[in-house]
Amino acid sequence: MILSAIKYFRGFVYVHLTGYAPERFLNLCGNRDILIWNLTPCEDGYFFYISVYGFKQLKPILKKTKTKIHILKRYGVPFTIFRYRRRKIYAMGILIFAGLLYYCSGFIWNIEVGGNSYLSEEMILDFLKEEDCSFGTKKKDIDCEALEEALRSSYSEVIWTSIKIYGTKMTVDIQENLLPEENYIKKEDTVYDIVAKKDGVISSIVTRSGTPLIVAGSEVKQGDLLVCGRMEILDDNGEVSGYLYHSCEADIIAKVTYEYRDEIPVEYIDPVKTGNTKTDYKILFGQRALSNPFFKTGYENFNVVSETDQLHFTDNFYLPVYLTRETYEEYKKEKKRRTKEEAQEIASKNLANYIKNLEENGIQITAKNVIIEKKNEIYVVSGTIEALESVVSYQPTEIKHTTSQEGQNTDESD
Amino acid sequence: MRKKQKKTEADLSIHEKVINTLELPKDLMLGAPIVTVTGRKELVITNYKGILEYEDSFIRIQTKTCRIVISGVRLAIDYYTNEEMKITGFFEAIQYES
Repeated sequence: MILSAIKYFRGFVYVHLTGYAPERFLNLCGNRDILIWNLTPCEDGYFFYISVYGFKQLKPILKKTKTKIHILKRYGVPFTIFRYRRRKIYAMGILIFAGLLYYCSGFIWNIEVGGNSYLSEEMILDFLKEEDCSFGTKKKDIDCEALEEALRSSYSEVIWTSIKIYGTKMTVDIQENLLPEENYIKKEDTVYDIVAKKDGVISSIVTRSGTPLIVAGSEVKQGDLLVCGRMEILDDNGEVSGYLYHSCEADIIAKVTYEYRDEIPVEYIDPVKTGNTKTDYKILFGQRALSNPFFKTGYENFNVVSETDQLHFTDNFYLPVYLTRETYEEYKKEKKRRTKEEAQEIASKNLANYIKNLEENGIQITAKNVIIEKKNEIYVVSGTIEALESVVSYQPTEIKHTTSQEGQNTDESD
Repeated sequence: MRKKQKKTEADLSIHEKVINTLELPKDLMLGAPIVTVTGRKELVITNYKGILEYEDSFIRIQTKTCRIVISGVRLAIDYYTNEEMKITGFFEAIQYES
């Protein structure tokens, strides 16, 4: 394959060899390393292919063996160029195309984001846009290392980044800190109290440091102080002479009640597909779309499913040309009524989703009490869910100053 | 009395015996041709000197030690260099002449 391409670029000819000693001619060619291929015999000699370079070396051999050679056909780039030497605009077109391709390859046309789970791909693309490193930026203007630094500093969740540019594709790989936020938000230089995150009844409390202000069984409201980081120091008279500050650490589990409410209307509109579909194609050049002006759906209600492909030569050489296929699916709106069984099914599915959501956040469900009622064409699902969960949230400790008292004390001692 | 056999070309010469015991490559030491036949339609021959005759139905090749005649139908030489030659066609016989 590569060999034939090289042959084509150098040019080769198909010739007819006749004369006194054609076999000797072939052996001499072999000795002088002149390549001959697709050799076929005929009545008065041979047909074969030979490269232009080899053909020019044949003169002494032809003389020696008293043979004659006739060119039957010419192949390859040198002959093609010679044949079309007067088509200047055509040659210019090829040059302009090559130039445009080269110019286009100096920009970013595709961005791949990997390794993100908290941050969405859109957030990272928006960030890149703010940093002027989005689609269509010149590759020269992008400093990958500075961009990595900026990404790490603007999102605290990101602990490792790697931005690379291959061809016209930029890959952004990030690694996020998957530990929950409270484990690393605490700083050593400020002291924190623990306050209640939600209303509830405390079911258990384990304090590792700090002064607990509640016991198991006490009822708390959101924002109530649970563990205090400030410790009073009493003097001999039983009066407060100073405070010691220490960050709190405790596991506090409370029984929390969630109100649950869901409504399911009896009447609903069901989109029924009619099975009619139409397909339209669009070509996008950057921002400009080239669509089919004769395309009309004629549907009243329809869904559009569009698939977009970006033109690329290799995995890393993308161009700003997109091909979009849009499939229009017609549907009809039909009014339907739910039966009680159907409503119950939907209600229990919604409730299961809700509970699953809670459990994913580390909340333990202890009891649920939900009923379904029909009120004026609406099924109302309502009830309470009781759960055990951690109500720990941190808040800076209020610093109380006792300097005035201390000042008085020192005066007295003098 | 042992009957003295007439020496023929099929017997090994001293030169060949030495090369055999030393396990030297025969294509280099003796100039023996290597004929690689793939199926019935493709043949590659190396270590040859030149073409003696070439027609549609047979090709006679001179090598350093012997002549090889390949007969068949629609024989063609795909390529032809100083070291190697590839022949395609439908082979009927490969013959060695001394």
